[in-house]
Amino acid sequence: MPLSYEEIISHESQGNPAEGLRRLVLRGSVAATARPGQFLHVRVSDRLEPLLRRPLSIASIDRTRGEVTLLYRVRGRGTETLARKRSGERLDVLGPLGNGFSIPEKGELWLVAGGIGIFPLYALARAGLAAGLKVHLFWGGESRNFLQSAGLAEWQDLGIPLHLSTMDGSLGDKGTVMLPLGKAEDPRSAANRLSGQPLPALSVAVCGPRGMMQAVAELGSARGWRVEVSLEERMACGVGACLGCSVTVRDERGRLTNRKVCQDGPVFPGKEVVWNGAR
Amino acid sequence: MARDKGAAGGAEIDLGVRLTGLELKNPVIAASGTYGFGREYDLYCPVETWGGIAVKGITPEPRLGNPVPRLAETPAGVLNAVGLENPGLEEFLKSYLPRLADLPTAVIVNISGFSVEDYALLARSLGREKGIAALEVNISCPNVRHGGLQFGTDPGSAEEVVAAVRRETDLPVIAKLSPNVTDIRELARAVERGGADIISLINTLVGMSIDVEEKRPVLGNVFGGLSGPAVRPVAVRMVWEVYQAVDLPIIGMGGITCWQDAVEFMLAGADAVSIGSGNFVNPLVPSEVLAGLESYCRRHGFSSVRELTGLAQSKS
Repeated sequence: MPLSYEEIISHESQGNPAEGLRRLVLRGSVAATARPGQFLHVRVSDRLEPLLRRPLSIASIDRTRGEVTLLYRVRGRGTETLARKRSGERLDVLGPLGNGFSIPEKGELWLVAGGIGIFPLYALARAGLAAGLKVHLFWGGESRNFLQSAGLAEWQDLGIPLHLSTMDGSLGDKGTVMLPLGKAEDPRSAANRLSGQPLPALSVAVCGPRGMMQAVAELGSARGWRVEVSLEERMACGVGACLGCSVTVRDERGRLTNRKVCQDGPVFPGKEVVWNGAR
Repeated sequence: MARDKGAAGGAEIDLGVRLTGLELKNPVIAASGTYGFGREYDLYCPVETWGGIAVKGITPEPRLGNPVPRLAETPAGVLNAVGLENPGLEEFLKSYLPRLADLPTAVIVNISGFSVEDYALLARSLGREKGIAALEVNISCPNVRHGGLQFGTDPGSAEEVVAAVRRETDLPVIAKLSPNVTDIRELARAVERGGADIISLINTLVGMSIDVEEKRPVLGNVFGGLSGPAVRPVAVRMVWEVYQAVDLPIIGMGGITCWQDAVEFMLAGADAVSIGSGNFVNPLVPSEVLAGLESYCRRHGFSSVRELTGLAQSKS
C-alpha cells in the first residue's frame, strides 16, 4: 500500500488514565487490505523530532466503515508526540506492513497475550470467529485494573472463553498467563493420552514479553501445536531496507539466518525463533 | 552569477550530473545501508526516481551483523549499529545483482572488507560484472571491530585500499570518507592519490546512547553511527573543506530531508547528494528534493543543477 494520510476519527485515553493507554481510530485506505497482526509505521511528528516513525500494531479492522483501530501505551517521545494528535487531523502512515497471523482453516485457535500484547490479537479473534473457529483467549496482566483498561469488556462481548491471570491476583489466576494456559492444556493433553483420539488441530497465536512468548513456543513444540509469535524490535524503515530489526531464526535445514521483523514478520513460527540468540 | 530570471521561467532544468565516469540523470542518490537492494521502497517511491542507488555494503563472506538493539533514536538523529549484515559476495552475485542490473537507475555497489585483499577481491569480482555503474569503497564503517573505519582514519591505509581497488577495476571508484578524523582534507588527498574518481562523504559519526533506567548502553554493539539532521552541519562543513582540498567530484550526504538541504550541500561543493535516514522519515524525499531543486534553479536563473556546485565558496 502506498503512503497514506489517514483521517483521525477519534483519539482518546482508554480506561484508567494512569495506565497511559490510548485508542486511535483512523479512516482511510488502510482498512481495505489490513490483516490481523500487521502494523502501521506512523509518522508522529511533521518535524524532525522525534525523527523516526513508530510501528503500531493494528488492533481491529472495520472494512465496512473503512476504519482501523490502533491501541498503544504512551511510553516515550514518540508515543507522547502521537498522543497530542487530535480528531480531524491527518496521520501519515506507511502500511499495512508485515505479514500478519495466519488464520487456520479449522480446529481451535488459542490466543495467548501478556500485557499490552493483547492489542493485535483482537483483530485476530474476530477473524477467527468469522472463519468459524473455536477461539480461546489466555491473557495475563498486572492487575484487574490493567485488564479492564486494556479492553477486557470488549473481549467479554466476543463471548469466547477467557482464561485470565494477574500478577497481583486481583483477577483470575495469580501469576503469569502460563498458569491458565497450563490448566487448560493439561486436561486436553490428558484426554488425548487416555482416548488416543486425535485432538482438533490447535493453532496458537502469541504476543507479549519475549520470555513469555518463548515459554509458550516451547510448550507448543512439546505438544505439537502450531505456534505463531509476534516479535517486536526497534525499526527505522519498516520496509526491509535498513536491517535495523533483524532477528536470527533457524531455517528448515537448521541453519541460522536473519529475518526482518518489519518485512518477514512481525509474525514468525515459534519453532523458528532463536530465543537465546544475540540479544 | 546574475541572470535574467524571466528567461528561465518555464524552461527545462538540466538535472543531469557527470562525476568522473559516472553519469547520473539527476544528482540524488540513495545512500548505502538505507535502501536495501533497491526494491524495498517500490510501493512508495519508484526506483527510477533516483539518479542512482548505492546498495547495502557487501563483504567477501556473508555476515549476520551485530546483536540487537541495532538502533537508538537520538535528538533529530538515529544511531545504528547494523554491523554490515549482508549476503556475502557469492550470494550477491547469484541472487541480487541480476535483479539490480535491470533497475532503471545507476546502481552503485558499496564494498567493505577487513583487509586490503578483501577490497581487492571484491573489486576484481564485481569489476567484471555488467549492470554496475560504480563501486563505492566503504573505508568508514564504524560498526565492525576490525577493518572498515581503521582504513578510513589513517591516510596511508586509505590510500592503500583505494589503490588496491583501483588496480582491479575500470569502474568509477568512489571513496566514502569517515567524519571520525581530525582533518578530513588529509583523507581526501590520500584517496585522491590512491586513484579514487569520486569522493562521497560523510559516513556516520561514532556515538553512543545509554538507557538511564537500565543503566546500560542501548545498542547491542555499544557504539553506533549517528546519522540524520543532527549531523548535517558537520557534513556540510566537511564537503566544503574537501571541495577546497581536492579536484575530485563530491557526493555530499548527512541528514538531508528536503530540497533546501540538498541545495546547501551543492552550494558547499557537492556535485551530487545522497539521502539516507531521510528515507526512513519520508519515502517521498527523493521526488520532493528533485522538484525543489528544479524550482530553485528556475527561481535563481540556473539552467543546470551543475551550476550550483561550490557556489557558496566564492562568497566566504
